[in-house]
Amino acid sequence: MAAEHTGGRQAYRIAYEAFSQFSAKLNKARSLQDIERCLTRNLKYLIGFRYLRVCFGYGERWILSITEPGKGQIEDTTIAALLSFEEALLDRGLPFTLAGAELATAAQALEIDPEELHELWGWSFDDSPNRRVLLSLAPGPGYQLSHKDVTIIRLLADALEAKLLEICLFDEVAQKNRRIESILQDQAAIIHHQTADLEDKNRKLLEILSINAHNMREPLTRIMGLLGLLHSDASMAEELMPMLEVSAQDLDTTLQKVIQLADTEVNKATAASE
Amino acid sequence: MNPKRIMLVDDQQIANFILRKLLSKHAAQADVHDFTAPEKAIEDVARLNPDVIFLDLNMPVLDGWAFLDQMQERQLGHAVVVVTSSTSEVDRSRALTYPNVRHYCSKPVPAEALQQALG
Repeated sequence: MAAEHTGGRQAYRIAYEAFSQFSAKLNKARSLQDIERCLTRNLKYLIGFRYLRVCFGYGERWILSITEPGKGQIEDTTIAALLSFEEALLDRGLPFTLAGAELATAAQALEIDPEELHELWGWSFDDSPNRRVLLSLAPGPGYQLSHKDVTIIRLLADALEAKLLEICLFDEVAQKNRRIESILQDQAAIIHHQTADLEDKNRKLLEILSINAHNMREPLTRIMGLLGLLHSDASMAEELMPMLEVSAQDLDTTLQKVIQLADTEVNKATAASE
Repeated sequence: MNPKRIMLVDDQQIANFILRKLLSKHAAQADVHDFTAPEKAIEDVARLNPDVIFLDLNMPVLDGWAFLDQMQERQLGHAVVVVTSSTSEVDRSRALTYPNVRHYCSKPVPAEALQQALG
């Protein structure tokens, strides 16, 4: 009894150390491939397994990881390609273990020799509403799953969920950044276009101003000339007054024309930009 | 120059009036003929044979440039003083390319400029 107890503690210690190593490697993973490499290399130190299948669902995204001794693969899809026992797991959320005919069907689905598939266990982890982890495990030949293994599986699922979520969130941020960048580019294009428009408008207004500056100056020079005469001989006031009036009116008429022209140009430009 | 006969060509009657008043001080003895229709004025240049023509640039029908061109075509070498409301350097340079253009004055014409033009 005492020896068994000591053995149990030692087994926990070994499992803990193996998990620490696994965890440290998983932490460094930056891609789905990194995760799969970590599983392929380190899972065997955590648990005696024949087959591990992890489905991670996050929003519309499903990541499927399959690990067998010495090999692994990971797929990133938007379709949940769940097997029938996983569908049931997703529906009920309860852990399961398969035997008999169901196990034979599962072996076929998993493309494993039925002779090698003695048991299949499944767990569903759904601590958060927008993500699910479905974990199916076939123990290795002669390996008996214990409480210790279930604890390890629980930790494994948590660690994988955290890492997969991190990668999904990174991808989301990267995607959003790309979108923001494209919006910024669009805006830069719009600003460029509007600037060109404004420059064009400015040029037209300057042209109007330049063409009409001479026309505007003409009646003004008359007014200035008449004032010059008045200055040198105040007695001419009565004679000059009507001419001053006409010239002032001419100046006003010319100014009104320029204002109207400028208004027309501004309206045209405004209508074009709308 | 102390001109005896002067022609004023400006489509604005008031502009001619102002210049005539100024000339009455600075060239009191001169015989001044003013025109508001340049196309008529050009026909009278040879007959009046003025000592100087005060010519505006911006006019309808026949502008100052066309007036100067026609003078060249008709071989009328009378002295011209361009009097214009334009302050453009381009206009000034262009006007002074005509050999008979003696002066270029921007309106309103200051007394000193007029005296210089009458030189």
